[in-house]
Amino acid sequence: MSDTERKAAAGRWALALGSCLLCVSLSAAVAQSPPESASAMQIQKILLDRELFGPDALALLATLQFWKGRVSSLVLFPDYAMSGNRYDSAASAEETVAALSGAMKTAPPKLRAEYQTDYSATLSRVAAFQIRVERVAEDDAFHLVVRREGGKFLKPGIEVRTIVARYGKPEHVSTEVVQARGDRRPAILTLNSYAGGAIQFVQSDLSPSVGTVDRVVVEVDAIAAQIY
Amino acid sequence: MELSPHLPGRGLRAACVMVACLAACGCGRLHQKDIATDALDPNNLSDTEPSIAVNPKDPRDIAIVTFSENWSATSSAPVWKSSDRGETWRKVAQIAQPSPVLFGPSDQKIDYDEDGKLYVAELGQGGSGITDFVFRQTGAPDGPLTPGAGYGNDQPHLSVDRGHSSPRRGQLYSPWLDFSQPRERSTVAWSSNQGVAMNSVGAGDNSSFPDRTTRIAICPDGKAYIVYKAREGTTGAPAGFENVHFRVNRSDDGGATWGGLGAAGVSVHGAPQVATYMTLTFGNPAKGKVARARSSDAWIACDPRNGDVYVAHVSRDSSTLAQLYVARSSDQGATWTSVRITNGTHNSAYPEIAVTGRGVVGVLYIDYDDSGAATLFRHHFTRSFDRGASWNDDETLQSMDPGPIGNAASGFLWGDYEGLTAVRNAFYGVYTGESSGRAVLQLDPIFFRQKSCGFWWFHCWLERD
Repeated sequence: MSDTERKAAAGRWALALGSCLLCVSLSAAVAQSPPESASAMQIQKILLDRELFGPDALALLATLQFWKGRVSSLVLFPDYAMSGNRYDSAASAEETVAALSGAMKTAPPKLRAEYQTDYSATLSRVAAFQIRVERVAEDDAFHLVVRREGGKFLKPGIEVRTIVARYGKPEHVSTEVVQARGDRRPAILTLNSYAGGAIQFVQSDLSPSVGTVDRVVVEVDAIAAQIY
Repeated sequence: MELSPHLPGRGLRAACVMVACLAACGCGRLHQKDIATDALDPNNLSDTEPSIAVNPKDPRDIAIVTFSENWSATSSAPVWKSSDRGETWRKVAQIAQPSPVLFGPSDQKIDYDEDGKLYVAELGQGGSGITDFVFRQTGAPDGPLTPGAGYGNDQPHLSVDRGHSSPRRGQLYSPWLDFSQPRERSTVAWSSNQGVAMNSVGAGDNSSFPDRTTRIAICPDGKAYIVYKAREGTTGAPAGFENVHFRVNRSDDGGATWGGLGAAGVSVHGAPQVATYMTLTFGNPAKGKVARARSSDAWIACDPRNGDVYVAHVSRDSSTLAQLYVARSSDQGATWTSVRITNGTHNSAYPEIAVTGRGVVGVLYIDYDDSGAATLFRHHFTRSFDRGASWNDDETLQSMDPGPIGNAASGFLWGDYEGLTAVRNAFYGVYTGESSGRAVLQLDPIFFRQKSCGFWWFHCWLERD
């Protein structure tokens, strides 16, 4: 075999190898994409479920871009929402409140088409949101709390079995004991995680009725990445 | 009278018959029972932080509260009840939501008055507020209990004066911890009208250090005693411990003032500090679930015969382990003698102490053994038949690995305290332990009862409990 032939053969091998590697990479990418896509689809399905969320939750989620970098999660209760982040003092949270309150007066970024119709219809409610720092008895910590008169964030009384019927079994179930400064009974939370933990349906053992969703936790970055 | 040379004496024969009868009927034997069943506890709740009371008029009536079903706008929280000394149990929903904004029960303690009326101290929390209430029996024993005035804050306890010679029989006391002050203060609310009106009075000394763990006992003469700890920092204390003084103070006027033993009270272990738990990780976090122990280190009781006061408390001593000590005062709290009741081999905490009608002293406590792959938590019950001088009667009630127990939440396994009381010659207790006979392995309230007489106390054995 001449040098030229050897070089040509090597080139063909290199091309073949490169093609194989590309194929493998593409296959891997294709293999990874369904879970991401499934996760996004599940997030979309959950966040557009009007049987779960009231209009104030949709309005709040539409403003998620403003919360990014400021809080890591939002917790939705039936009549209010709060930051998952805990602050040791009111003063340490006030700065964030001021920044958020200012930002919320501006129009949020454009939503993805899938969310546009449902979420945009609720945006007028944002003007009535009151964001303030409140001390929460559950953990004796300060949180940013979003209230609106007659607020409807999470539909009350949803049963966990309803969530399972709609979205399947949670990917992960964990327990969190919320300790306060004092020694009263702590809230023991059962966190049912979906979409890689981006959304958690939470039961509390302090809830008046067993088996109901006490709150929903949404991870700000993960959800913002899906809705904008 | 001459005795027959062939037959034992009449007294000896009677004693033999009595011993045989006692052995046959199981007197003095420890009775234990998981009071929950699949029917009574269909939601498999964890039933933590139990408290027990026995009706002094009829000790067949026993009441227990645990963190079971919560109250709501339409349903009441339950009291576990037995009318046959704890053989069978039922759940009676009789603690209604005291206010629409408060959820609970969050912290509770139960007691009977001398007339057999039931009282329950309850903490409700909601939004940013915490309020305590004493619920009282105003109708039939199983009817709805009636809440009194709101008061207090963290960890309300409860004791009703049942002393026959007390000038304030029926007076009700509820210690709680005042978190509204820069340094938390042990506080006691008193009521002369069954909790309808509550009057809170600062009882611990918080002038230099914050207080915690306030427990109360009422002696037969109507004098009220609290034990509380002054939290004096962590200098030199190992992780999870802090330096404290366990102090006792006394009220001689129905709770109006707490200066019977000076402004700060008297340390039951003398001048030196002791180290006690202040941790969320009682146990070995590397080997399984752990428990909170921040106010799980002291209890107080009064001898109903002579007014001796007993305090059980934690002290990490030269064994380098947390041990339990019992201190006794025979002079209304002025001076104390102390003895270690655990054997220096395992970390121990969560003491509850009670004294029977004949002065037998009992302590319920928990230790843990982490020598194996998983931490085993062991509930113990130990007794002293000589006024707390010696403790040679330790019995393990249950050894539990909470790891496989689904509703055992690491960080709050059985609660901050459990239940022990004594009526006449028997101890009655309840702890949150591993279930038995349930479809799902879980935490349940485990009741125990033990008649406690020295073997030579024939009258004691013959008395009905």
